[in-house]
Amino acid sequence: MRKRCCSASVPRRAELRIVVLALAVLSPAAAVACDLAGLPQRIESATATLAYRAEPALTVGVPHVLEIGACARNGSARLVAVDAFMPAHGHGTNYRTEIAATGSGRFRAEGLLLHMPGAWELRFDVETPAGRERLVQEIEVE
Amino acid sequence: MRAALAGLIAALLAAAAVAAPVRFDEAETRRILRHGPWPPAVPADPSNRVAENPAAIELGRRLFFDKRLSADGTVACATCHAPALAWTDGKPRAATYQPLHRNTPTVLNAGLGRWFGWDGGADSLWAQSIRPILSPQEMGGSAAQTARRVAGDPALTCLARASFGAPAESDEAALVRAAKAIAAFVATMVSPRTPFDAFRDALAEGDAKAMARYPQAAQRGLKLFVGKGCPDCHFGPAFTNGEFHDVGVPHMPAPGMVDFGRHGGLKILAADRFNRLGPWSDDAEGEAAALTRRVRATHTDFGRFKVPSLREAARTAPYMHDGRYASLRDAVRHYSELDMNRLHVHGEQLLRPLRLKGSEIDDLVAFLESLSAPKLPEFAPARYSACP
Repeated sequence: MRKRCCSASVPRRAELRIVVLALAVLSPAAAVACDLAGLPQRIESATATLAYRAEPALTVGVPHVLEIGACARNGSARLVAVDAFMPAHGHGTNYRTEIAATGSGRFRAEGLLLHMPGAWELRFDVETPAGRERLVQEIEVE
Repeated sequence: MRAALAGLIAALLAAAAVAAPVRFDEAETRRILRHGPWPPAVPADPSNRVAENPAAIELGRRLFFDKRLSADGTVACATCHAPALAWTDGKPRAATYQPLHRNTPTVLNAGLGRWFGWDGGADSLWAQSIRPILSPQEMGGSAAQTARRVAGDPALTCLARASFGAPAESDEAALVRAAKAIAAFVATMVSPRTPFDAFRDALAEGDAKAMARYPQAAQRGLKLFVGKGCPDCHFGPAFTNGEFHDVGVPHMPAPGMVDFGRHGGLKILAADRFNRLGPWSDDAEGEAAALTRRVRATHTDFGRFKVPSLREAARTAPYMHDGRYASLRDAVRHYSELDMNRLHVHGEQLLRPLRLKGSEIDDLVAFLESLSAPKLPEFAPARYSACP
């Protein structure tokens, strides 16, 4: 997988810990339900932070399992949907991804299948105290 | 004199251009390598517990050629999937008891698929095997007839017992067992290595001498193939991503008749009691069943048809889901002259006419022809000696 661009950078682990610590100071509720350790891919917005790891690494034609952590700036975040879309082709994936909460702000999404090579948008819908929000990461799979 | 010299120089330059070795850059090389290695391992089918059972494979082979599964004893699976025609019928559209509106696909490499049939109405090779047996238009058989056929033949009964153990408890169980045996046989039919595979492996190893044995026209065609975006759909070692696309082929097979393609296939799949979520699956809770549970209809499914493998394409004319093109050249021309008005509003938005020159069409055809092996094997499994 090649990440062509992303709405947020992927920090090194040390930097990630600093970010998580800062979030904990700002929001006690988030500190309880926000563990992004070990999740290398990261997307941030003004109100939420999401990180994930795909198994196997994102590629074409196989179902993936994503381990996902979601944090809100103020309170807890709940992952409600994971999907993918090919903007250049005007279509998404043909499969519904199944999501289960695994605790401490962590989620497991099963069944993401990218059926073509090319540019995809990974779309994560989260609910936070600020409302529902979509975090998007643009990736290139070969 | 000067004009003649200029003409000679132009001719020499043109000849040199044609003969120039084809170079593949890093991105092209990466894309080419994705089409191998070949052959791949056939993925396990946990919904069919006899998928790799030698007795079941032999039982399936015999049933595949058995005309007594049909209504009047004149049609077998092999009637339309004929070995001599690369396991197709060679006709534009299938026709046994009644004419159908789709082309008969080859069963070569069918075991590598995710969905089966042009519309993906089946989620396993065994569920797909049931469809023609029961279809009044195709074989016109029944569960009871299949059960009688197996029970009335000592050799088939022996193979069925060796495959499944105790006798089937119902006619429907006997039908499912027959279909699972046929699927076990069909899954053994992986097409052989081809000139392309030799080139692809040589490219992976940087073996210029071996690469040079691949015809120049095929190399130029391959460069066009990966450069024009064909692998977006014809992806991977089997040259198919196993999914469904609208490529501008009309989906009205006759006046007043509409072929809904994937849109209809998903409805058939959901209603099929033989799907991987149903009572006859040997793994209704596993990952294979999860794919069926997770597949979803989208507004783009209408008029989409499964992307066929390009392996052995030179042997499997005619082409497209309705068999409208008699030759590979005609099929390539389809993409060269693509009629954008025929694309469904939600069709592939990247599709554009390729506007190929005649020589480019020649090269693409040469490449496609290189995806066929010099000869197909008979796919006769080793005899199962414990049964007559």
